[in-house]
Amino acid sequence: MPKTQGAASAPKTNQTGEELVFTRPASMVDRATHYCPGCHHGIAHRLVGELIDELGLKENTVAVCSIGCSVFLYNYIDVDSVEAPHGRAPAVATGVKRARPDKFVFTYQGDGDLASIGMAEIMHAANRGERMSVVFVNNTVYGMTGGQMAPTTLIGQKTTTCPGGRCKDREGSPIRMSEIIAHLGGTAFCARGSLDSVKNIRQAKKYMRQAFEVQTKGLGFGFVELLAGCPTNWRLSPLAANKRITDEMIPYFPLGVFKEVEGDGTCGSMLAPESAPGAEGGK
Amino acid sequence: MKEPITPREPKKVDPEEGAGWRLIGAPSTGKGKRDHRIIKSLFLMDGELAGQNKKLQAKYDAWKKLADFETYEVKDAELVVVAFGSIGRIAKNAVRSLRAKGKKVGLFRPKTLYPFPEKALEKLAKEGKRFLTIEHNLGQMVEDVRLSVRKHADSDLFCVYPGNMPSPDDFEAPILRALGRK
Repeated sequence: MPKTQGAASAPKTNQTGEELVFTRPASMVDRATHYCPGCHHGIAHRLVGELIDELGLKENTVAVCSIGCSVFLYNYIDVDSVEAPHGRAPAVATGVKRARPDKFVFTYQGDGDLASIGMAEIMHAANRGERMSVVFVNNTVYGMTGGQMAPTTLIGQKTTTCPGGRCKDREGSPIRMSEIIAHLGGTAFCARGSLDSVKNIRQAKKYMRQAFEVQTKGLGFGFVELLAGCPTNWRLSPLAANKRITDEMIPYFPLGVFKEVEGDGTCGSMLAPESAPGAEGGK
Repeated sequence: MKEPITPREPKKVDPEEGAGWRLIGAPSTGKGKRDHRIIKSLFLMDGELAGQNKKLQAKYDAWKKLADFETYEVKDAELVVVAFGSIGRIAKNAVRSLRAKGKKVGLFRPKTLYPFPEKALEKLAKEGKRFLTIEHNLGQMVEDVRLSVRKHADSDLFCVYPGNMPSPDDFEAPILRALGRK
């Protein structure tokens, strides 16, 4: 097992002498989450925790949690945290970072928060090149409030507020946030990953690391979108929800790096999404 | 009309302020070791929100002492005009000019609407004064005025539609009307 799977301070063996090869990251709280079965927030939280451990940021981090199911990140992650009003996490994070530029500041936001009510805040924070990192969990639905249509809801997807399925002429097309953020001047890193398979989770973690590192290196705004499942509001089993990500979401929301500035801070070229399962379907 | 202002020196920032709650990263070892802090306003657990509301109520109760107001010529006034903001300033000119004509009118100008200076207003009501509330809307503060004086008096109301800026002359007639009303 690679070292990165466990907490730095984790015991090597348990009480009965068995070797422990997997435990929670040191920057996570030992507590069961309230998330529904099959929800991907648990995985996304864990990736955040692992990276904070690996980058040695635990004691120097301020997390900004936004409204939605994910607001409770602060109950599970063992770092100083502040709760932002709906959609305003990038504005709060701007304040935190400008007051204390030496701190590592990240926001953790859902699509109902970031792509709808928080659209202005996220775009201007990216455009200003705020030295912050954003973890954007996109599950195409408002989870906490009961499965209403989000800006990211796919065409034809049924929600409580579009029971006949989202219609392009009526509600517009699902918004591709990574593509938008990549075009803004202050963005130093922007990528989309997915949490539907082990392979994609490992790749998503690499993207998250880069989104965190552009901040610690002072290069600019780091953004990573994670495609995630909401079995409860999709009315699907966890396995079927995973399959939906693979079959329906990834073709529309292609995975890959959309922007990456060079190490010296000069703005690199816009990159086409890397080839990914179904990536060509979204173009 | 131009208002005077009182400049003041900005307060110095205390770098140690909020040492008990600020977020600067939670050390997990060493001298400064502490639990992580959460600044939040969402309380969903059973009983948690009621506890938060109790705390907030204590805060609202505590800031009642911040209620502030100005009085002008109220000592021997029979009628006290209650007005705030720019209308308070205009009403003051109307009261001044009526005083010059020997009319026993005064002005009570709340500087804070919340907390509302209810005790000071009630004291005037106890002294037997009558009231006229003048507002630049169709009657909002008058509710607070009436609640404050309700055990001893009532308040007349004169409204100016928002959108027109009145002059002191516009207030003299309604003040005299209220003064003449017994």
